[in-house]
Amino acid sequence: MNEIYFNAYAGYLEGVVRGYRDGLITAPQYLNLTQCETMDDLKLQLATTDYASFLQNEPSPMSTSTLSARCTDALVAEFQYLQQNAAEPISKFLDYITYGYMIDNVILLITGTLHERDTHDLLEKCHPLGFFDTMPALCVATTVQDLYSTVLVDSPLAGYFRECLSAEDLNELNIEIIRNTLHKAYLEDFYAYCQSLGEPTASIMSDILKLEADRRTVNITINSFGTELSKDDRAKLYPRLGNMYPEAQTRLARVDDIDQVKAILEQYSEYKAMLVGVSLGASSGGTGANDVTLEDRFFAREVQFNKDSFEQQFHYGVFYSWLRLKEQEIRNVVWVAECISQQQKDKINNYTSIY
Amino acid sequence: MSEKTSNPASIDNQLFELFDCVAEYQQLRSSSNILLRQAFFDLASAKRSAGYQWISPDLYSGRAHAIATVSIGEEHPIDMRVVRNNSRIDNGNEKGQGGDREKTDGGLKRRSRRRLSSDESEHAKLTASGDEDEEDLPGDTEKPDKKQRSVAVNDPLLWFGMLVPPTLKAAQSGFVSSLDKFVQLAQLKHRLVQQQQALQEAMAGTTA
Repeated sequence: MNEIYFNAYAGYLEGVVRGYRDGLITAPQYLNLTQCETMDDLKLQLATTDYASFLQNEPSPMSTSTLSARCTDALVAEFQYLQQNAAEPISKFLDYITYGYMIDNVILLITGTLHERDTHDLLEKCHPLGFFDTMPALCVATTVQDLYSTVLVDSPLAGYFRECLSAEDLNELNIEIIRNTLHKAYLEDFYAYCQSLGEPTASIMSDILKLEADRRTVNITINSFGTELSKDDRAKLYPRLGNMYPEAQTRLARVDDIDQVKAILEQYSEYKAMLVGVSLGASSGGTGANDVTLEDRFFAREVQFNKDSFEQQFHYGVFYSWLRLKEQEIRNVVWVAECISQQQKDKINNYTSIY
Repeated sequence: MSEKTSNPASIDNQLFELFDCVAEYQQLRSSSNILLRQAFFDLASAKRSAGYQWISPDLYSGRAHAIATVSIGEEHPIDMRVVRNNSRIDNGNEKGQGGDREKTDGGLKRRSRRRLSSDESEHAKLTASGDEDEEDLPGDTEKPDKKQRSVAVNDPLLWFGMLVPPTLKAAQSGFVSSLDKFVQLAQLKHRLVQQQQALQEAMAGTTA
């Protein structure tokens, strides 16, 4: 029955997002990008993509940060077109997607205020997709209680703050805990909402969000080595969903080095295949020309799930998948730009091609 | 007669020393280039991993100051050395260069006090965590799991959060290590110039 009525309220937007999907950079285009010698060459090659109008007025030489910002502007413009033309229930799904960016903006403002950055500058650096009305007031909050009671209680993030209210002072450790706790609550809430939408959205988004949860679990584990974050606090930051929940998470919470992480992941068939040929000690992009990291494998797996999402119709997952694929594309383009500007041509092919 | 016979030998020795110095300079320059190149690459990898919004100059602290400086001797400019201000807080007692510093509070009171008093030094304002500050709060009881630890006050990595990717830590390590090499390069360059001048004077003396 879903198929009968889907096109009535979301058919146009699904057509639009499939058009956006067709505008993603293909493998031959990536080859042309990797053969560029300078940033001007890269800009010339990108003139045939969806980023042309956003890059044409940028003066040369263009920096990689500028390239990243303009590509993000292109993504924001396309997503906001979808939002402006969406009605219920698709508008609620699109709103859910923006909550992740809201969390990032909240943390950016709190961190910037803690470090005495100018409020006006901070607001300009916030992600446009995560903007909400009371966001500028975040800069005057001094405790978590103030944060919640004066600013966030009327925002969509209010429900996610319940687990953060025990934090007292806003220092680096507590802010990191708040950030990851918010993302955890958001992911769990988004998962529950997708399940309530029924098939096929539920199953498609389930796979994607579970992978996201697993990726967050591994990243939190690896990034917490050598920090002040205790093992108990680390365990509290893991999302309560995903293939690693609860058994692998319980074990990952107690590990002390990256070899132990690998030993745990190898016991799960879906991640054992990902670990083949992976250099866990290498940086993202690899220290050598062909080094692959676990993060690269997670990116590749995420791309595959998001591509598969377009194989079915009449579900909302295509909107989320397109956004993630677009973000991956931006990541790829900026990576190529960094390798060109740093003359690291041997590592330029360490991107995750989409089509 | 004896001066004419000794001068060519001393010039040869000076020339060999100059060559050795040049070789050392080139080797050090090559190694520092490799170190810097890898550090910038690690930084790009960290940005790709954590997101370009999270690792950018937008998150730099507004009260950032140099934690390493290069001191140059007035009498002997070749006497350069890196001076690092690694202030550390150990259970609320500040140790490090500059003697005792004023104890500081956590994020809440630090922000309030800064508005009230603009005379506090930047070092007095820095603190790495809130645990040390709990001793200053009346009526507070110690948390049973409070850890005894020493934390770096001035670590710029904290600007980007506690859970930064390992590549960012590697990048920081690379940039910190390269500073020492730059000072050595400057010292070597100074020595090269001195040796070159001495050699030119010696050669001018023999042709006169």
